[in-house]
Amino acid sequence: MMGWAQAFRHEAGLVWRSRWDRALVSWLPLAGLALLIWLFSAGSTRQLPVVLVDNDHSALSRALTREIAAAPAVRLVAQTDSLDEAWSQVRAGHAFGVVHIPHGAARDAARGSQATVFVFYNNSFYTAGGAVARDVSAAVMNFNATLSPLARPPATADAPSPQAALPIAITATSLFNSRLSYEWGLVPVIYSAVLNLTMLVMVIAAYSRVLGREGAVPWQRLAGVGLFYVMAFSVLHSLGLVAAMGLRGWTVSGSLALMWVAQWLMYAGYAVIGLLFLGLGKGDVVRSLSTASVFAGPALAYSNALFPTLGAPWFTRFWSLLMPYTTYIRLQGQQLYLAAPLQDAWSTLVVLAAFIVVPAWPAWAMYRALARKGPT
Amino acid sequence: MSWGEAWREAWRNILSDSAAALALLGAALLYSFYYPVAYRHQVATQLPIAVVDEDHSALSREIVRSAQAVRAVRVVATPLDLRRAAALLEAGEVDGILLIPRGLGHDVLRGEQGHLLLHGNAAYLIRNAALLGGLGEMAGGAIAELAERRAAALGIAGPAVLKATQPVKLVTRPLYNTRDGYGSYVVPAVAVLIAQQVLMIGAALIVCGVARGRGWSAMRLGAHALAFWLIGMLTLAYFLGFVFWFQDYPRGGNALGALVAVPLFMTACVGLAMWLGSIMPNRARTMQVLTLTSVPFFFLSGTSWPHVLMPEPLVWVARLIPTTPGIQAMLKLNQMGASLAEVLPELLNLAALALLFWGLALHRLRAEPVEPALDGPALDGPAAG
Repeated sequence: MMGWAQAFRHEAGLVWRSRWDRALVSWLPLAGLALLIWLFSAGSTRQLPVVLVDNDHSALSRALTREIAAAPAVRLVAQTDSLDEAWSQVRAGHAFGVVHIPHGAARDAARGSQATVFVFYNNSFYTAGGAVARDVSAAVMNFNATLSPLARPPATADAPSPQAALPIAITATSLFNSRLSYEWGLVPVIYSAVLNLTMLVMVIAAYSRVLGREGAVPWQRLAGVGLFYVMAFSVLHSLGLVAAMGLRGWTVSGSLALMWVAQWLMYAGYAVIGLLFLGLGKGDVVRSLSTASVFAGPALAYSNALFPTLGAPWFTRFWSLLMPYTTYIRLQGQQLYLAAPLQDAWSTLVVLAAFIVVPAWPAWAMYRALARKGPT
Repeated sequence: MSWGEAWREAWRNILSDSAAALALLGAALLYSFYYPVAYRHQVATQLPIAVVDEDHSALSREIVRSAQAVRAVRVVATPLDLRRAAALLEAGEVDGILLIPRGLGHDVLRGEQGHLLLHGNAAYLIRNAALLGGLGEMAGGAIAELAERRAAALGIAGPAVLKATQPVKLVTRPLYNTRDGYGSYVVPAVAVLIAQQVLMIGAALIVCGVARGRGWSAMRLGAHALAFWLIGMLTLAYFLGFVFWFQDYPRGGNALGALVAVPLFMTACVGLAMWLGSIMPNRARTMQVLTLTSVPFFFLSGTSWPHVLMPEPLVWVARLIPTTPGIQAMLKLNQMGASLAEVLPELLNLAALALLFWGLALHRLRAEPVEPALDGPALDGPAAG
């Protein structure tokens, strides 16, 4: 009879001897993190290719073009007279947007009506298209402000304000991620999602091995197995974040220790849920893994971390709350970016603990039933 | 083994393997509802914000009322000062703050420039963009109105007002995903990924289970490949034909072009699946490891983070996965109505992958059967799963 500590050591030994398992609980997730960081290393959406269609060929259109070309998200890659050619560039993926200055724009502006200019952005590429639209819009706003006859000379020569013409200037500030870095905003979220799925499929396979080889065991035997993966993945999780802090200058505004505690609880929740999935899969490891992947695979979609679940159908909001990841990632966001006060975290930790306590009995009961039935 | 026997064997193997059959035949159906429902609401709305009105003027009250009407946000708190609003932001109670500083109404009345401050929580990039975009638009409208009044006070009236305040009018138009929906952006891309992943997992499970993926006769290989290919084609046809219509996503741009790209994509996927099935140690490991590839494959595909912003060597690595050219080609053909010439690079990429993976699969599957090592630890032994 193995106690939990012995089961923990036994599991560690098994994992160490298997090339695949060893990789999956050590370097492979960290390599995945490195890949994600490299992928998003450009940080923010800058220099996206845009095609200019200038049918006006006027001083106004040239001045506007200069303003748009200076926008951070925009890189004018081609200039043409033909809209058709511009569409083709977009369809081929060579550009994410088209700025069209129609014939007569300068004339309209001079005559006292408005010159109408168009920006078309490829919204099938949401991130890139949206960035182009926002920056072109900001550039035109600046251009208007400098052009407006209501603009007064700036108060001091060294602080010219392009918005001086307007009665109110808007200052929009993006807090906690001021450079709008996708690396910093997305990678911790994606890394956490990949880790919790990895942990889940590892722990299910481990339980199935115990079931297959030993059948009925005391609960401490399973707890020891689960605990090994809880420790391994919470350490991997924090280690990844710390490594990125050192190598990529990520800053943790809140408490790393609190995050580790929350990670520990989250993985412990998944350890229990894993046992539940082994039961739901009737002990068949492939079936259990496939059911678990249906549950945890779309964690990112349902997590509320990327796209808000606010305003979503009830099923989405309900399903989102069923995943420990959703609860955890909220706390990670607060600690990583916001430096939320510690007392805000208590309720989150309680919810995470509930994911351990609530499914524990049904999971254990299902396991015992399977073990009694004997090998399938 | 005759062709008929091989064909029947392939289908018997697929249908008698509950896990593989579920992946190949059932999962796509499940995911076709499961994924879209996460994004059913399409746009970020009602993001909670705090409004701090330090000014208490007629103008500031007007701005607060306008903010309440912005669809993207919902005013959930009106704290007295910025410090309290910041505490709400840090606690995650609100996603943004609209600050109307003291003296705004006064400044504007005197003809000086007032200031309005928007703060968004950019740790959540999509929310931040929706929130700042919505509030910015609202403020822009309010400002334009004020500017008109000011111009009128200067004796500028009629159409000249527009010229004076906004000489260039910008019309912003989304292409292809014209409703600006998040779901109609992400699901059409994810659909291609789902088609690849369910085929890859299901087919690899079967290949791995039949003679451990070694010593296959040409008939067996051909029959299994054709069965997998047909299932994959059906899966994508279901997504492109039914799901996109049912969810009202952009679709049907160049259906004939899709008839070229889809079979090519599936050929590459089947090759990849059969090769993977032949190299994985057992079914359990196949299921376990291949499940983990979905998220990295999606981000490598260049949909959410464009390839122009990715390091070049990584883009080349990404092109080794069928979904990378597959998603790009399918989006271009189906959403954007691209011509075949406009997706030629992707088609060539897919053809190269089909050749590569089929070469690898044939090399492994046609090889002599090997005696498996009987007892490996963990999931490495052939008996597991």
